Amino acid sequence: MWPYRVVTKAFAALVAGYSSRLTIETHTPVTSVAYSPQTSSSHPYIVHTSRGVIRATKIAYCTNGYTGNLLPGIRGLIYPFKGTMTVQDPGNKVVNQGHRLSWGIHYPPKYDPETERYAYGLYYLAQSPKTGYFYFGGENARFRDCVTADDSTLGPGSVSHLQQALPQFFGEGYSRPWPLVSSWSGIMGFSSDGLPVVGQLPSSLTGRDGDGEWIAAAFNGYGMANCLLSGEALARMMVGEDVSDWLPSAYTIHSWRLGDTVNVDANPVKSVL
Amino acid sequence: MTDNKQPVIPPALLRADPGLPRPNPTQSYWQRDPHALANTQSPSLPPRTDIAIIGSGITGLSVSKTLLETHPSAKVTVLETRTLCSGATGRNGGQLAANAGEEYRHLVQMHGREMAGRIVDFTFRNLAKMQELINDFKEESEYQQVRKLRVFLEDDVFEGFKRSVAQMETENPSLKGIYSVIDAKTVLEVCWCPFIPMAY
Repeated sequence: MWPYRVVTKAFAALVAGYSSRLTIETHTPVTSVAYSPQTSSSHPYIVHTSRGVIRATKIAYCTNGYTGNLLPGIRGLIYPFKGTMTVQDPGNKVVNQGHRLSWGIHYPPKYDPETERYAYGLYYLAQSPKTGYFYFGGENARFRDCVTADDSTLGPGSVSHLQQALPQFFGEGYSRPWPLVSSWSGIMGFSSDGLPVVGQLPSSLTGRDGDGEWIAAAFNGYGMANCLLSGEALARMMVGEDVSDWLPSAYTIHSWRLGDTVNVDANPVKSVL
Repeated sequence: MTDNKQPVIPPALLRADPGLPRPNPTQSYWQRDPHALANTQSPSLPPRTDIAIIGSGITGLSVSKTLLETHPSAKVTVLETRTLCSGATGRNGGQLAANAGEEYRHLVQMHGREMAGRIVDFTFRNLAKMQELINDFKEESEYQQVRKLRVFLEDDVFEGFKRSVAQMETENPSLKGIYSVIDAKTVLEVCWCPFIPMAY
C-alpha cells in the first residue's frame, strides 16, 4: 500500500471537487499563531506564515511529531520519533511472496549501555509483488538520534543495522548486504501515554484564550490504523457534532494526560513502530 | 513485562522544541515521483479562511475531506511547510496494520475493558475506512491484501502476544478469527523463512 499516492490523489480529487472552497499552500510554514478577537470577531486567529498572515475562524493542528513547535505547552505529551526505512533487493535469493504476505518481527526490546543503543522490539517488512524488493524498517538507535524531528539525516548506523538484519531473517549468513535501492528517515509523532491526541485544545495547552484550536496528532507509529477516523472525528467536533459514541474518549484531551511521567515504560517499546 | 534495566528517555529530549519540518529531507522511495500538486500554492496567500489545517498528511487530508463533504460552505486552507504529504504518511513502511492484538492486554490494564474494546474496534474500523479510500485509487496505490505474519523471535514475547489476543477475543467475540496462532514449523512452510533469532 502506497499512502503517498492515495493521499495526494485524494487531495487532487478535493481540489477538483471543491475548487472554490479549498486552497492548499505548500512551502508555507506556519511560524506562530495568535488570538485576536478584537481585530476580527469572525476570524479571531492570526496565523503567521513565511508568506504572510492568514486569519482563521478555527485551526486544526495535523502536525503530528512537529506539534510541539507551535504548541510549546504540549511538549512532553507529544514528541517526535525518527524511524528509518530501507528498500533492499534480494535478487533471486528469496521467493517473492509480496502478493500474499507481509511481516512484523517482534523481539524483546533491549538497551545496550555500552553503545547507548536501544533496540525497539519491532521490525516491519513488506515485499513488492512487482519487483520483489523488500521494504524493511525498525529502530536500533540512541535516544538522541531518534527522539528528534530531523528527517534530513539518517541516524548513525540505522541503515547498516537494517542491511545486516534483513538477510539473516531469510537464512542468509551476513556476508554482504543486499543491494540498497533506497533509504530514508521519517518523523512519527508519539505521545507519552501511547494513545493519539484528538480534540479541542484547552487554554492551558495553547497559552491563549479562545476555543477554536483543535488537534489530531501522535499516532505512535500506527497512523494507518487511526488517522482517517481521528481526522473525521476532529472535523465533526469542530462543527459542533457529538462523536463521543465512536471516538474513544481515551484519545481526547484529559487533564490526567497532561502531567504524564515521561519515561520509556509510559511509552512502551511494544507500542513503538 | 518490562526489563528492570529499562532506561528512561531523557525528559529534555521529550520536551525539546521539535522545530519545523526540515528543508532538504531524505528522499522517501514513495515520493520519488512527486505528485503534480507536490508544490501547489495560490498566487498569494489568501487573507482569511474558515478552517486553517496545518499539515498535509493523511490526518490533514481527512479533516479537509470531512469538512468539505459534510459542511455546506466552510472554506478550508491547508498549510504545509514542505511538499504535499512529505511527512510520516509519505515515509512509512507501506503496511496497513493495527496493533490491536498485542496491545489489547496493556490497554485493558491502563484504561479498562470497555475502553480497550472501543479502541480496538476504532482501529479496525479505521482500517476498513482506509480500504474504502484505497479502492477509489486502487491501481495507483499498489494495494495488496495479504496475510500479515507476525513472527516472534523469543518465546516470552510470543506468549505475551498470545495471552493478549486470547483476552481480546474472549472480551470481544466479534474479533475472533482475525488472528491465527501458528507454530515455527508452519512458519517455515508458509513463508520459507527460517527466521533465525538474532543475537544483539
